[in-house]
Amino acid sequence: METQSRFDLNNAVAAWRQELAAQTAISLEQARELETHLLDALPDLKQRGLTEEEAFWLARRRLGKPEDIAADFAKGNPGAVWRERVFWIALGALTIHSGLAALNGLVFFVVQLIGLGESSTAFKVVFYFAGIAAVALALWQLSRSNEGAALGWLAKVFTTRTRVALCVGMVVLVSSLGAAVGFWQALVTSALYHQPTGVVIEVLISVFRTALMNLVLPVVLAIFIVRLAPLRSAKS
Amino acid sequence: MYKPFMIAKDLVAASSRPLILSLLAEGESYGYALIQRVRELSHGEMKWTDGMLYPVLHRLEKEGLIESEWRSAESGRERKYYRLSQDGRRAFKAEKQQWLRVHNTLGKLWKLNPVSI
Repeated sequence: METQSRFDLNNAVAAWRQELAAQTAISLEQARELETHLLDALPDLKQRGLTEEEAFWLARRRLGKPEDIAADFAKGNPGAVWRERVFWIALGALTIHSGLAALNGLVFFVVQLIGLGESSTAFKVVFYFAGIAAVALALWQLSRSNEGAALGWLAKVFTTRTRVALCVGMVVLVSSLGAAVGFWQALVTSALYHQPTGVVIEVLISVFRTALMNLVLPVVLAIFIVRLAPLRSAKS
Repeated sequence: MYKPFMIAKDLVAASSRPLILSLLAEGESYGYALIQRVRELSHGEMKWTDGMLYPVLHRLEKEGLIESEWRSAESGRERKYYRLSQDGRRAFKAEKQQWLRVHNTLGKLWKLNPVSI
């Protein structure tokens, strides 16, 4: 059986490169270096009588699993792993906040429609935590699937510093937006109902509540992400 | 399970640093050639996966012990070449002394001739 002619080395190397790129602990330059290693190994193996396909698989096997190489890199660079996590945490927080704004509108609409009135707060709380769980789960699934590989590749377009700036910026933006909305809500409420004595308390409670929510969200996400995607070095 | 014929994983990992420093002390080299040398020298008894080498090189470079440069090889493809820095030479000498001290300590127990450090 001649299956040799069907094997396309370029495709095989490209697929392997994608697997390496999916590992956030491996930089593009390191992936390129590993690729030169693989290509260096092929002529020697072929000289020993292996076909191109066999040589490719043996060279790949000798290099080890991409996850294991990444774990070794991560051991020497925990900072990069944390920057990566912060990126996902900030992204998750942003997604949840924008998602919940839409969800709140929907919940309000449904509650009005079926006339539940008072219990709407309970609904909002349930939806809030359901939203957090859903996004955390989605991020986890993404990080393990092929789409995650594509996203990991995309994430590498940013240099590390820009990415960190982006993360911090998003967290600050989300928090300030939340606080601003709370402040504005409190002002409007007190103006509408002409309760000047209640203004200060209303504003304080509102800002405090928003700040607390903004603080709780990244912490919950951090716990999820750190637990679900630990430094893989623990395995060895 | 204890496998008496292979060098233990921890020992392989611990020796990777002096090994790479010593190989580069012989002259500039690149990843694949370094692995080939280790294979030859240890007769395959040091069970390295080839990928283990690169994180070690990366760490040594970050510590400033080695320097690297992408250059075209004769084949026309680019490779990343490594060489020892000044600090790397000092680290190489220090590592060598440490390993020989360990060697001599064990050697006394095993009635071997000590190696001069």
